[in-house]
Amino acid sequence: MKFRSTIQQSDKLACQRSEDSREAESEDSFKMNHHGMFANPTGLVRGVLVLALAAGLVSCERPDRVEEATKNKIFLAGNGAEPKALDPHLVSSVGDSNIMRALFEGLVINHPSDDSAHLPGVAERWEPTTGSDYKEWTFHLRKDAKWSNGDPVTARDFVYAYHRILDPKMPSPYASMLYFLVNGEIYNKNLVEEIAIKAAPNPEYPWESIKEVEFGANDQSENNLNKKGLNGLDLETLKQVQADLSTYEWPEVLSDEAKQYILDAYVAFYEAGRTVQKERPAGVVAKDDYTLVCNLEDPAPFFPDVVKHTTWLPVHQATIEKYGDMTDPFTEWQKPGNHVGNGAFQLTDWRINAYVRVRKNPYYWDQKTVKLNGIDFLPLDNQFTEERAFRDGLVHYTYIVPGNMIESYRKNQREVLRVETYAGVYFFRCNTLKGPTKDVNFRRALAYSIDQETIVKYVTMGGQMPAYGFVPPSDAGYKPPNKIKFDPAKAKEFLKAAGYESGKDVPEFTILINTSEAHKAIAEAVQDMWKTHLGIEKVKISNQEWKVFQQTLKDIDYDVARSGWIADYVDPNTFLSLWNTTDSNNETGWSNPEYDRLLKEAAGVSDPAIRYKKLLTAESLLLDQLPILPVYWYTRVYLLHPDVKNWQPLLLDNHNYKFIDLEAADTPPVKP
Amino acid sequence: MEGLKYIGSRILQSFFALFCIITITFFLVRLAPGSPLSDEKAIPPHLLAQMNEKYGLDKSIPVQYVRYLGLLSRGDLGPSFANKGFTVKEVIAQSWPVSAIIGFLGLGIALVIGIPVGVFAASKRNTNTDYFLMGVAMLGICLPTFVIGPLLGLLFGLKLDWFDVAGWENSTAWLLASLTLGLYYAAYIARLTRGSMLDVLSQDYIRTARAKGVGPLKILFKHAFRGGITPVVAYLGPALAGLIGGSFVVEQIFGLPGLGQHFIKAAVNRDLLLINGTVTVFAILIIAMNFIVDLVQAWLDPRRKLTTS
Repeated sequence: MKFRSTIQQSDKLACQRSEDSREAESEDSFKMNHHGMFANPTGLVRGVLVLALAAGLVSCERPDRVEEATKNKIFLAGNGAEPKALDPHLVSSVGDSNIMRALFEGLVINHPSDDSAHLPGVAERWEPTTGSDYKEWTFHLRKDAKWSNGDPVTARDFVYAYHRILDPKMPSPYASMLYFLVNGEIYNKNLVEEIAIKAAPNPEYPWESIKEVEFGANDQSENNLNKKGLNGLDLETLKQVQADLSTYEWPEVLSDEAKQYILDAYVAFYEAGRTVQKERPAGVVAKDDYTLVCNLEDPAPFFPDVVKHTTWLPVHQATIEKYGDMTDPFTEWQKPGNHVGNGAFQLTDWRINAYVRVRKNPYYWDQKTVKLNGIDFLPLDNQFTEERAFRDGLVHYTYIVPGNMIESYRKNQREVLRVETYAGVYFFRCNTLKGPTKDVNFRRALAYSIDQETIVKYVTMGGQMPAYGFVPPSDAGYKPPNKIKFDPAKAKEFLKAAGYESGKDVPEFTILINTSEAHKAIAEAVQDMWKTHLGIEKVKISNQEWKVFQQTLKDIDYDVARSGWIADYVDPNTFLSLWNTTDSNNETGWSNPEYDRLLKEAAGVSDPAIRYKKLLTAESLLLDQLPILPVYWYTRVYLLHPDVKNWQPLLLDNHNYKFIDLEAADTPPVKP
Repeated sequence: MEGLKYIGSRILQSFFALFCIITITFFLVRLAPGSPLSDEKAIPPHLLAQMNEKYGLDKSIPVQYVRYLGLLSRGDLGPSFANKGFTVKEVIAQSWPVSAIIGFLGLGIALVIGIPVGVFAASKRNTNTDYFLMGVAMLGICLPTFVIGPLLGLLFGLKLDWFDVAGWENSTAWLLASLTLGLYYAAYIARLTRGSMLDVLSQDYIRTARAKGVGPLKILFKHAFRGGITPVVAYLGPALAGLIGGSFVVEQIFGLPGLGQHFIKAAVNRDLLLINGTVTVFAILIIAMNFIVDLVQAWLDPRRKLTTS
């Protein structure tokens, strides 16, 4: 029983003393085991019983972990998977951003009950510069905001953070969130050609004639140099290519003179000591220590919503650079003891696959609002284990509930079950480049023969909403077109229009899913619906491991693939921008100039009503062309202990932990 | 002298086997599709190129291999891709005690239950007691840990509330985890023990002892036990390796931060260096266990000589 003594220092349990005496007892029972082992089997049984009883008594005497934690105001939260990092510039998952919101605070913070409302964070107030048409925003920072080591939080910290996440060497999966800033994309992608060639045009080699050259990276390429693109090569390598043009793969039509011209321009650019980052600084400036100005590429009336995202959090320069290079993702600054944040909580402990512990940050400016003493984020990635842990009183909150248990909770323990709208959509991507799904009428036939209501009611059973469009409904003012409603007659017409007399003529194709029982069940339902309503018989389901699945999607090497998308901020743009021709998450091969134009136009409009109208036209177009087959809009289903106070349903589920409180409920939940 | 020579050659063989395992793992992992850097939020190609370069993944596989051997020779296992800020060494150092403890305790439980049940069943050969015990053992072998684990959790964790159902520090879930692991191997060991005890009990020397009037208990424990236990000892090596290595499911079920979890998750995440690291640790463990078991067997059974033949 020696592991009982490795009790965490900060919140020791009250009954530790009595445990110590039990310890001796149970050790005795171990010994007894050994004595009686061979001579007498019943002795063995008795030994085991005594051992079990001793352990049983120990845990019987202890109050539930959650009761104890509620008393100590430590929120025990199931958090899905183990965090990939504790650096806001390296994370991308929902669970990781939960931890980020506890450790850091952005300019604007989440409202406790409304994800589309804003509260002042490090910024006391903010406004778009009058006449800038929502393209220039000024944030006035509070003077009392502090890092967890006592340093003041200044506008320069934000400038540093935004330059860091946009740095071409920084492996940030989510840097594109900052492309809102002027030059954000040029800076991040290191687009040398924008300056060295486009900005200094040569009449002999007009841009149109050379634009096919791989300036940017092409990870599909066989050639290692082309993988990095011209912009990824350093001066020395460029000179080598200059000496031997064949080491790089050029478009076939390009003359050797044109190639030389491009390389000369690049070499001259670097030899003059110029860099993209110097000449096109990202659109963020610290006017003084407490005034931050952001200049945006396009008008964004919803900009305060955007800066609530984890990618816009500040980082502490001195700490990051104390432990290594600014762009090195493997340094130790993220570890307990080293980590410095500016949130309501600070990192105190981190054990892989066991917990991330955060405790109250004594330097946080708004101490009086913070009710909790700390949070333990527990990476219980087995949803059944998490559910058992909740029933055993080990966690206040679960990340998820197994689908087949929702009904039983609804019947027996309604008070702990939470079913809430969540801004996300479950859909299938279609390959628009090859296979039967290349035909738009065939895609329409597939879309209209998916009975979304049946799936929601009998397959997912989590209170999801059938998705009649792509953008989920919200209170933010955008009314989605809701075009795709189950209609087998219409679907059959589309099938005919696609040139198939009956479903039997449709060539074999495959629904690709990533390995998961839940996805498999939905895919099977859809497979059956296509068979019943369209008569398509040759639909296969194949599954791939997550990482392989991602690669297949990227290569657009599938017919129909399961997908999901969760909003980054409350605005239809976060969903619709996916289907831009150039968006790296498009992954369907779908490209529609009209759609791209509508999105671009919408981005240039500041009046929300007109903007929404343009986005609505864009979504209608998307739902007409259907590179995607919508299935349902997400719900968040989880368990919450009644001790947790001030926890309101949120559209993006971005809870601001400084408002959460714990208080022993009058009626603790009944144990089953 | 013969013995020392044997031990020496076995150690050499072990190192060679270890080297082969490290090499094969390295190449297999890199030939698998998918990359440690691919994720749901698609990473733009320019960043992917940057990251591949940063982590040396843009080099050819043989070059990466030579680099990795260089790292290894300096006792460095490299960084973990999925657990940023942690090195593979730190990850393994944090997690192996968890797996070792539930593994060894599981083995203890397996022996404490399995051997007596096996001996008892052998002594009651072909009676209802025997059939019953072996039936239960068969059931134990057939029920996978992901069924037994949650059942034990429900019974001892929730219904009786004796143990915690999850967690490591300040928790009792590891006892349930050991029990889950132990029961499966107990069932196997019980059947193994019974079989070999029956074998020994039908030997001539047992008949002689019986003819001389030695009591049944004395025959069982003094004369038959030592011979009957030998196959169990031979089984201990693979069993312990399996207990510690195969604990992934059990660690998941009881939310324990052990090495088994990393073993599987590293493969799913394509966390290349962590896969290499965990495989190396397990390989060392299995090789060492087999080695020790060979020595113990030789000691138990004087007919076995420590020879290379």
